[in-house]
Amino acid sequence: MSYINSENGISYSFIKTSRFKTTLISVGFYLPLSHDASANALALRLMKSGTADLPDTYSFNRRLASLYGAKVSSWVAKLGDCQELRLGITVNDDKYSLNNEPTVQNACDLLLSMLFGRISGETDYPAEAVSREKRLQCESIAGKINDKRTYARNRLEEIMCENEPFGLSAEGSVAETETLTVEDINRAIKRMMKTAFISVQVIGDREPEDFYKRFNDCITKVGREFSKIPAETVCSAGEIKRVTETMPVKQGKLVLGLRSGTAGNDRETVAAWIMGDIFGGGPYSKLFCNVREKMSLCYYCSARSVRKKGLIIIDSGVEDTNIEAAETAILAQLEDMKCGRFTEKELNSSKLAMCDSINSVESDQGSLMHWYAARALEEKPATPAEITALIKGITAEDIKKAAALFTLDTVYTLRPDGTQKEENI
Amino acid sequence: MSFTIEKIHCDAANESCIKAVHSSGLQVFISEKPDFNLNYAVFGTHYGSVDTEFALGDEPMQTVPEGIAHFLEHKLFEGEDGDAFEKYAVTGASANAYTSFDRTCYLFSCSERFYENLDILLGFVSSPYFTPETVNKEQGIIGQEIRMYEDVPGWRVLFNLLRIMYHNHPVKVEIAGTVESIAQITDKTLYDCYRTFYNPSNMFLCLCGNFDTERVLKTVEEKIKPATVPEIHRSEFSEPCTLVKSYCEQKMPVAQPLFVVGIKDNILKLNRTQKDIIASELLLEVTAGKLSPLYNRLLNDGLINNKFGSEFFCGHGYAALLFEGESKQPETVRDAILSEIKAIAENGVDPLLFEDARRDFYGNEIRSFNDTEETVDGFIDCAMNGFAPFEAIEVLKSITADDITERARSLDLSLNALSVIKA
Repeated sequence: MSYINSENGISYSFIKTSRFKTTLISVGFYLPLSHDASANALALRLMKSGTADLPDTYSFNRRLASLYGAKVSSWVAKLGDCQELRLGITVNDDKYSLNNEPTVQNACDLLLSMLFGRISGETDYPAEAVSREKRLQCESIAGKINDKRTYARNRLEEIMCENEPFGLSAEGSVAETETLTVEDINRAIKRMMKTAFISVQVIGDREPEDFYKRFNDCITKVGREFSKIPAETVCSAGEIKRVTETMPVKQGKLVLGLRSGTAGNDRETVAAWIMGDIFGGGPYSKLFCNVREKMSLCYYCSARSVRKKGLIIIDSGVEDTNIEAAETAILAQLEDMKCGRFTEKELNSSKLAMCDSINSVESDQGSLMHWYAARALEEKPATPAEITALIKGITAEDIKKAAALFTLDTVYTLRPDGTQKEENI
Repeated sequence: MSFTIEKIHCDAANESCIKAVHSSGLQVFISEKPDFNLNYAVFGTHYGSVDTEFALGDEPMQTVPEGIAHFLEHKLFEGEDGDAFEKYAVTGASANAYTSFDRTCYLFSCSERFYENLDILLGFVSSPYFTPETVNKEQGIIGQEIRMYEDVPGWRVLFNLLRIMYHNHPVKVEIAGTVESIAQITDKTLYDCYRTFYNPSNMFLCLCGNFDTERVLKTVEEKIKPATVPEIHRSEFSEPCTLVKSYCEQKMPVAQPLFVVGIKDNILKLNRTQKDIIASELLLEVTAGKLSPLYNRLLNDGLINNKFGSEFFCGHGYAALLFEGESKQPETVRDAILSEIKAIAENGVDPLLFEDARRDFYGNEIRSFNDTEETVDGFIDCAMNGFAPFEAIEVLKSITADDITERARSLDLSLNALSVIKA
């Protein structure tokens, strides 16, 4: 892999490999999470929906099909207190086309048109496209209520981090989206191109110089005014916040947020990560083996680390009558971790599973891109091999120290309101 | 070794694979990827939630509780010598299993210690161990899983549709069964199902990754014992070519209505060829896929959003074209889809649209070999349906617009049903 970190807030990761049949190019924009999130997300949606030459979804989708089903992917996510907006394309290599067409070159052209085609401000997005994408964004945000597991986790983050950028939604809100104008969108595009930290990945069997040069030419013309990303806010746990909401559901959701008060250095971060995994990662974890399997309190019960914020979020699906018992059982498992009541076998299982999974990252184009996207804001992103080396060196004492830092901060419970009835269709 | 081995190569995708049939009848599909550091393996059986009525050889037909295939999947992880997850915890592999309407699959992925993991997989799936106590404990966990799915609107809207489309076929029943049906499961019924469906002649092993084929086959030879097994008789469901009803709705907390439109297909045709399936999927694409004029019109008119999609849903004795999404006006979307299929049947498919759709599918098929999981999933379809590996690529080279028009003409559009979930 070659890695270029330019002075003006742009980094490039180039991975040349013949392992895949496709080339993947992905461009990520990182901006501080703020109330501009809705406008930024809408700008990305519009970029994804067409170009100045192919302004409607119909002609744009047909163009992708003619490139042997090239896939445009985009996502909006949180990376700590940052909003990550990513647009990319994956295309079959030329040699897999029926007539040896220059598919990769054509896909590069298309991606650059999507990214830079409107930057001059001379060709605004058509009003029809703006109103369609606004509607789609509003429906996407409102539709999050359909998946109760994700909904409950998002509510926990909002409540727990209400005074931090991380408490905001990555896609913004329906109310903000509804008020956005073409001017707001043009401003958001300029914000992304000029001030965001930009991270580019090119993975495939092709020398990356051509794309690098063309992307660099386009972004230079924009006139970068990169502003450094502010440091993360990492808070310690205060008094425990408890919020309970009800809904017409049959199964309750219990989500607990823990804080360590530190994002830590690489070694401490990895120790916290393994700690979270022994506690609530795979099927060898304490939450799975005890709370689910032995005590049968939840169908699912797992923990996830938010690396940059020093958080662990535990979520579970629980029968209403078991909610209090499940919370007690989950916290008892945490106490065991803090007191070092975990076995060498548990530690080894976690380290083995994590290393095994990381070792396979380079065999999947999407996983490789995600690996470097998640580390885009680091001075020099660690490679999978560097992280597995760190994991192997972590001791039981490191885990105990990491566990000792975590304290319960927020408890969010979604309970059935008793109105959801059995229905005969 | 007692295998019949066939090596198959596909120039278009620059891929090769091995199909080996063991003397036990077990089908083994292998794709070696020497430059990958990821291995994926699935050991599965042609046995799913719809197999609730069956007989083995001359034995009488028996009916077992709904949800038993999924229950058996859960229980198989627990062996007399310990839990399979505990064994994988020693190797670091990531393991899982799933049950669908027509199959049960046990899988692992790993970057290291592949052969140990393969031993574990073949070992625990071949060693059933059920007791009244372990069955009883599992009823609680699966009961919670069933309750969880009751709150998933995307799941509910599909099963509500199946319940109004099918009179008798067990495809209309939830894969995990109901709390009441799983309460009837005993260790004996589990052993009956295991004995019937988990014999190697009804099973497949599909693998992709960085390993040595010879060594894989040697492991299979050691672990899988040939046995004379009577034929499995699956129920021929007396499913009429009519709907139970054409509309249903349920109230759930959702942002806007979710819907599935289903067009019940010819249920007398029990087995479908690769070409039948691809023609059906291409018809879905040219009717309302992202490339179609209809999709883009519905999107611009505010009638669908990015969640809209379609699927050709088929298996033993059931088949339907499904269109699902979110809309404030599901009936209008349904009517537009039916009109579009009618127009295709009457006027034929736009040849340029067909060519783009074909090229899109062809590219996707080639791309699927990037991924160990997708490669293995393709092999599973081959094992389940008797397709040849890479057959889809050949079909896509030769299929014509007329094939799609014919497919549209084969449908009885009056057999359409709509399921809606709204707040």
